[in-house]
Amino acid sequence: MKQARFRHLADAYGADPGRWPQAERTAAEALLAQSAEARHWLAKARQLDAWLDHAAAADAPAVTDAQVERMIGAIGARLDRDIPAAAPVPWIQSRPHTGPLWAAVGFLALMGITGVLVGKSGLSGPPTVQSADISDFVLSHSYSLAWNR
Amino acid sequence: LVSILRDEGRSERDDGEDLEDGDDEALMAEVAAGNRAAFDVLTRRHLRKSLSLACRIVHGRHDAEEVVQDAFLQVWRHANHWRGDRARFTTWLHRIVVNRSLDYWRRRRFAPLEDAADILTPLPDAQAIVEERQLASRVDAAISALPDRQRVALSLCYYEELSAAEAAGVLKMSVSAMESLLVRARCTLREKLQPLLGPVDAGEDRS
Repeated sequence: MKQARFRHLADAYGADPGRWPQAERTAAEALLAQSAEARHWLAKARQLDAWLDHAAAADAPAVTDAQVERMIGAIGARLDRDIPAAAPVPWIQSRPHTGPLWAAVGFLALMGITGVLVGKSGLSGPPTVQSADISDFVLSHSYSLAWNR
Repeated sequence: LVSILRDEGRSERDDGEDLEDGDDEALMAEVAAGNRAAFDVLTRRHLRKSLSLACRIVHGRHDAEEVVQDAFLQVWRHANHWRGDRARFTTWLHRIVVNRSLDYWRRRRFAPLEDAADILTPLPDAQAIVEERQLASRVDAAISALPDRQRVALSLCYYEELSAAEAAGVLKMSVSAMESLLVRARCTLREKLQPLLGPVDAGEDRS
């Protein structure tokens, strides 16, 4: 390891080799054993670590069990309040569910068969005079309109 | 009936024990399915660490509690957005806590600081206590003045003891970029705190 890399690591991670990237620790320790300059950079990093530790000691958040329980209770209460706000459902899924697909298909098939049978059986009756007149009128007028264009 | 109730109680207890034993990723799958018990286990498991991290960034216990509550509510609400194959749960959670903390920090940056506790009684150790508090408050002030990303990098790597790779995952950057952030943060702090060493030691810098 070169001095520059050693200094960079000390400047980044501090003086505790336990915080350094594991892959570089052995090389760093080897350099430290033989280099006064490396020891100098480590001493500088140690000084800053001491200050940082001092601040951490003054600001260390000691979390008690009671605090944990209180916060979990508060989070649960907020969740209970928020739960009615469920995720929006796409409109296509929000339509009323009418039953399985096979029932709908079966119903349509039954209606189709019934229609064919009714048509063949003549139950619907022959066209009346009035309905024939209307269809003649519509057909002849639509043809003449199309012809005259 | 008694045996049925007993069996049900045992079953619930077993489920709870299973959840306690489950890893974060398995619990998140349960949370995504709406399992509140899994969410409680996950919250209990990571609350202290999250609170500690938030405290370091927002510099206030009350604000940190709000930040952490919001963060865990986000975990619940967005559990189905989390993809276990992309990041570990803790990375995702830390990212949420950091982002929420920075939001709070930016909103409250200009709010008046709470007064430091007064030391009224000149006890024998009072001088040492005063000096210690003054030093701590100078270091805290120097850390607070760092740019957000440098402060977060320092909090994650130094105080929360995440590896550079883990912290880089939280801030979505490379490890080398994380190292550069740390170097800049520590250099800035050293410059600001150098006067604490006095004029003789301050002249030792070889850079």
